[in-house]
Formats: sequence, C-alpha cells, structure tokens
Amino acid sequence: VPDNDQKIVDEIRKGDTRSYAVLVELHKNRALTLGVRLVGNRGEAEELVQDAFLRAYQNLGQFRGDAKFSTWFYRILYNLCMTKVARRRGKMSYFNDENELDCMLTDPDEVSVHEKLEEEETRQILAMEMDLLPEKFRTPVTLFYVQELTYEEIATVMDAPLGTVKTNLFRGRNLLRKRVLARMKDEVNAA
Amino acid sequence: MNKIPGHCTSEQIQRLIDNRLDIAESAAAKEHMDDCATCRQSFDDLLLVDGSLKKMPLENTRPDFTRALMAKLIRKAKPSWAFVLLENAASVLGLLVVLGIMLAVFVWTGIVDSTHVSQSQSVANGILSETWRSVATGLHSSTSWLMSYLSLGQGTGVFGILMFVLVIVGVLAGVDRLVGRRFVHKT
Repeated sequence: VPDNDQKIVDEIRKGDTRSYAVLVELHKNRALTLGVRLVGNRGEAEELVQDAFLRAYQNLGQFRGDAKFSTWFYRILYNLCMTKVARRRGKMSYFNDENELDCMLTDPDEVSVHEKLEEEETRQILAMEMDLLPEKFRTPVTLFYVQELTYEEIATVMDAPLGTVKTNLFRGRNLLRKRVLARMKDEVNAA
Repeated sequence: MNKIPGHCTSEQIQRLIDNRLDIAESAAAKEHMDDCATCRQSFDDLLLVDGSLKKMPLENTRPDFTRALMAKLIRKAKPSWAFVLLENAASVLGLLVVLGIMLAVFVWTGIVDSTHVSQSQSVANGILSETWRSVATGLHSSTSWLMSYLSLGQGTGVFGILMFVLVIVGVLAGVDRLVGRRFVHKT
C-alpha cells in the first residue's frame, strides 16, 4: 500500500485528479474506524474523514514524501478529531483507570477462557472495551492495531514524544488485555 | 544467554510479540516461558488480544462516500464567480485586441485605406454609444503605440508582423497562466 500511495500521489501531482479517488478508496475504511474510535460518533466521524481527505488533497503540495502518505493523512485526521473532541470536552467524561494498571500478570487459573468463547464474541468484547479505554490510550492503541502504524509513525501522527507513545501504548494494551480477559471470564461464567 | 530472574515483565512480553526484542533477549524470554506457565499464559493472552484486535472488522463508509467526496472536491476546484467574470472580460478584451491587430495590419499593408477606417469610425460614432467609442479610441491609440514601439512601419516586412503577433500571444499566454494558477488551481 505505501508504495502504491506514493505512485498515486505522483499521478495526482501530474494533474490526474481522478487518481485521488483510488487513494480515498484505499484508506477510507481505516480512516473511518480511527475517526469512530476517536470521536465516538459514526456520523461525525464520517464528516471528519471527508474533511480530512479534502484537506489532504488541498495540501498535497506540502506532502514531501518523507513519511508515508497514510501517516501524513492520519495526522490531519487525528488533528481534526482532537479539535472536535476538545470542543465538547467538559460535556463528556472519560474513564480513568490507570490504577488498574498495577496488576499486569494474571493468574493462569483465571484465564484460558477465550477458548470457550466464539471469535465473534471476542471481537465484540474487544470493540466495546477498546471504546472504553481512556482517550490517551485509545488513540495509540487504535493507530497501532487498526492503522497498523509503527511506534515512530504513531508519534508523528500524534505529534508526541516517542517515549510517551511507547508508554501509553504499553499501558493501553495491558489495560485492554486485562479488561478483555475479565470480561471473557464473566461471559463464560454467565453461560 | 541471560536468564530472566522471576517473571518476564509485561513490557518484555509485548516487545516479544512486536518482534522488538534483540536476539539474545528474545531467546532468554522464550527459554523462560518454556518453564514458566505464568509467563507463558500472559504471552498467550496478549497474543490472543493482539491477534483479535488486528483481525477486527473495519468500519465501512456509506457506499457513495468516494463519489460524494470527489464531487465536493471538484466543486471546490471550480473557479469563483469573480474569476468567471474576469475570464469573460479577458476574452472580450482579447477579441478586441485581435480585431485591432487585424485592422492595423490591413491598414499597414494597404488592404484597407486608413480614410475608410476614419469614415467607418465616424459612422460607428453615430451609431454606437459613447462607451464603445471610448473603447475604439483606446484600442486605436494602443495599437498605434504598439506599432511605433515595435518600429512596425512601412518596409518592416513579415518579420515585423511576426514579432508583433508573438508579443501579443506571449502576453495573453502569460496572463492566462498567471490568472489560471491564482484562481483555478488554488484548491
């Protein structure tokens, strides 16, 4: 995909506007997934994704090709989403479960529950728990798993120090693992 | 190879899954997990969550998302009404310039007698409004100025005419490029 992206960007720069549709097709669903995770509302997310694509097109001249197009584009989308979130901050409250992070290793007797759950159920639990992650963990975790960005690319998108990204990603993934496993256990016990 | 004292840290397990441990660290962690059920279980759990997250279905945009976006993009790329007005005015002005050049060439080559032009001008003056007369006078003055500036007179020949046409075409092309870049492509 990255190599294709660069080729498409080159074509657009040569004047082939229609090639941009190919780029949009390649990234729209991942972008929407990120948007939904960040703003929590599908309608708003779709508008933001559209806005991000428009801005990316308008500013394509500023894309130097140092990073991948996707990294550059997600940075635009991330900034738009964060602006949206910041505007309504105060109205919404986020969970803050950092205290839960102390317990990292789980008791082996309490796990192995996932084998009893269907894959679809696992995904549903994951999606739900991911939405419930604190914002500062949810963003790097989403960029890592959905956008499949590296630590360095996530730092670029979020304009954050690499160390902070690594820490938040580490904490977010552990928190997610802990919650998902606990939820799975509940599901199995309830069944 | 360094043995891992106690248990693997969660960070080590994550880095192992992400292939971010160096060869020695990776080997030590794997060896430790062969004998440690607790760390092995943690590794399996994280791997499960990790794998499931990577396989999570993506959100899908509405079917006409790309089409709507491209339509919006093209609409935005369309020139403003100011540009359209300017473009049309430039076209009319360009046409007048071309007619003026043709007239000047005809007069210069003797195809049209300059007295006929004056007669036509006086007839036109009687018919057309004051505005049109101003434009015609302005055009006449400007073509006269251009002709004298380029030393385009009797005996200059084909080369002189070519130079004259080239300058006009060059100016028009330059204006078009400048205006086009400023108003059309700035999207």
